[in-house]
Amino acid sequence: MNTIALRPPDVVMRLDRMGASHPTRLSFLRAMMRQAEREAWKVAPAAWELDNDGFGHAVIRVDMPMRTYSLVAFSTPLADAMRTDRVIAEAWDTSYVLYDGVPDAAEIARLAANVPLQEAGRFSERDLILSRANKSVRLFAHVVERLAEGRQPDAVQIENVGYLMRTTAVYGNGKFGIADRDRISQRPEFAGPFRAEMLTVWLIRSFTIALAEHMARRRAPGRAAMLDPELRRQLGVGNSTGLGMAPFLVRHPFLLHRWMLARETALARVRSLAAADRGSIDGFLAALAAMQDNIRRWKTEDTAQGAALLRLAADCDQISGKAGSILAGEAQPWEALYRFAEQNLSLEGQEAMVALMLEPHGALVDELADTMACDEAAVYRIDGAMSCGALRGLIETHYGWALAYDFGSAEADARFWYVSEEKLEPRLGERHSEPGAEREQPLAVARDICRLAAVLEAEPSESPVANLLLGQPQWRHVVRRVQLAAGNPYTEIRGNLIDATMRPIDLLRSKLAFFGASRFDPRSDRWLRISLFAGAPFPEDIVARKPARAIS
Amino acid sequence: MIELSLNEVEMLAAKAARGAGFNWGPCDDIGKCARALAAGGLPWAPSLLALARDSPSLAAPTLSFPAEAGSAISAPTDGSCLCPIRTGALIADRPGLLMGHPLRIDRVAHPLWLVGFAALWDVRVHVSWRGACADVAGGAIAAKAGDAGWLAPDADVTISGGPDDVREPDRRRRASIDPTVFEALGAMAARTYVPASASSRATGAGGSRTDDE
Repeated sequence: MNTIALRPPDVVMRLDRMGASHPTRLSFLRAMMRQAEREAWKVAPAAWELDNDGFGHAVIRVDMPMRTYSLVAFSTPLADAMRTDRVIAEAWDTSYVLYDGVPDAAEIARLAANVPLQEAGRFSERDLILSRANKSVRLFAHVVERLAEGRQPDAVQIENVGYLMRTTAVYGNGKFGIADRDRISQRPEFAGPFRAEMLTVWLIRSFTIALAEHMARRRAPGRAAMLDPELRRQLGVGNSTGLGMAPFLVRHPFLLHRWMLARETALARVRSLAAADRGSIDGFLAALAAMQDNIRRWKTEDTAQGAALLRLAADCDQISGKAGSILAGEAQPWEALYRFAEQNLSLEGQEAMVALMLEPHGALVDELADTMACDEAAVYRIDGAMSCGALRGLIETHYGWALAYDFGSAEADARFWYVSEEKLEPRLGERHSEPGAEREQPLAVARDICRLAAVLEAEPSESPVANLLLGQPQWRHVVRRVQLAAGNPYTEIRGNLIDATMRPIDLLRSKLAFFGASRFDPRSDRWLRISLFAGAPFPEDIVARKPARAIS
Repeated sequence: MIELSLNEVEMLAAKAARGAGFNWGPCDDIGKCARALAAGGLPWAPSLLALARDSPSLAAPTLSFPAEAGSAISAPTDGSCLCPIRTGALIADRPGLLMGHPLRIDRVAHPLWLVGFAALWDVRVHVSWRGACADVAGGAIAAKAGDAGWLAPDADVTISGGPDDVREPDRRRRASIDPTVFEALGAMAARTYVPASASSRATGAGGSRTDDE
């Protein structure tokens, strides 16, 4: 039986395909929830000091086999005019820290003085993750009101919004003085990428619902209703994400490679299977039904995403019509199904198919989630003994896509990435009409590769790279990328990140899909809203071993 | 004193170096060196300020290739000092230079940065100059003697093989920085930021709005 090869980077790493990514069972929030189930994490409130209006603080404690962590949540009054979705706001409805241990009164006081300030606060290495969330005004008020009346909220409104609050940032890795990633990366519970961040958002989800129920109870003691479990499960945590996330994928090429490699390896394993058993076919069809349900709940006003959703819905109908007969085939039926998707479906549909095919094959692929972290220091060194000729050869082999651009054209060189002085956030500027291009961030990989290739033309083939870098250190970061790409095919996004037509949300969606986000709702070409954990189990469901519904 | 996480050290050092005019790749190196120095309890921040001030007058090392064990890195003939970042990067790129007998490098400016680089070299070495010496193993730095010498503006540096039987030194998880130095490095880092314009406010992040939903 043929072993199916991994999809090549020329297919996988194109911006349009990355911008059609779907979450899979390898996504970080799924991996985190599997770990919670495996290790039977116990989640319970340790403090609940909230007044009638829901203001105050709460501590939600998570007991794991080796350690205990706490989500410390603060809820504070916020004028409607201050409630901006953007990372640049200065006040929020709620703010959070994932704390290493269980905080005592002195630590709560320290956190109360800093956490609501977010970026303007200072934090300690006991503080692992920092976040904040604003209420979805229309839904939060409605839910509290209805529950206080002893009724359930309107299911349509729950479906249309999908969350009670949305986060506008989730910070890790040493930001504003919180713990460095090094401090927790060796702990088994946080060994995977962004696992502590995902735990934080998972707990925030529980807190937002508990807060609404608390306010309803205080408003109508003895009469208020609890939220219906089915409605409850539909609620996730919203998130608004902008350009701040985009440079990460470019600045961490080895990590990007590991994420992609894990997903592509999983796909290749499933495609290589000799047969499709009844259980996996049923699992696939259940995942397909869940995805169709999710598409129905997936709201967007974005024209392009709206059109893509319509195509995706049609693609799912096609899959639904064909999957049974294709999977009944005798030779490598999953490969046949993938080929069908490749030949007949939109990019959205093809990438949805990847997620669907992985879904019933947990036993075959789940361990790959543990391969998605990496030691970037291990690949940092430049091989200075490599000859300039060999380096040129690597560029020709791995960067043909970059060499194809003509950076003499205004369109290819239209933009520049920078950090805004006003907001200290990444931004995208128009090179030919805005000031600041001399302060460009090093994200124009394709252009820099072209320039390095031109420099190498003038170097003697046998001359060592170290010699070139000694005289021209401006190529140091580019040489590092090229050498890394040699053995790691998925390090580079194969698109021009400064092109006039580049859509930054393609980068954002790819990263967010790896997180496990769903219901992508672009609000411009530079920021979007998503939902995390919508339809997913709650910590108490997992401990009770209720079957998890597929998150698609 | 202000307490920083090591990631803050790395990011601040890299940005400040960029603001001071270093190229991006060397800025990455400087960030990682600063982090290693901070974890070793060494004064990366005042040394970075001094390095930024002096860097325009510092020279690149010269070396005859192929670089084999025992090759010397020559000091500039015009009497200027070697840039520790370019010297450290050269050794990082050509680890063969560290094989065999000790490597002596004359007139290195702000030699502390060679200790930072030694933490990136993935070898066990002993770095010393008049008034300072450190063992570096497994990316961690154990300062053996110094204080006065760490901030030497220049020195003749010797790098030799470190003892095999020394366990990896402990690393600090936090760094302390003088508020004045922190502010000065912040001002350097701010040179990498682009001031807002009417057009960048309108389009740079895709539009702004109050969340009324």
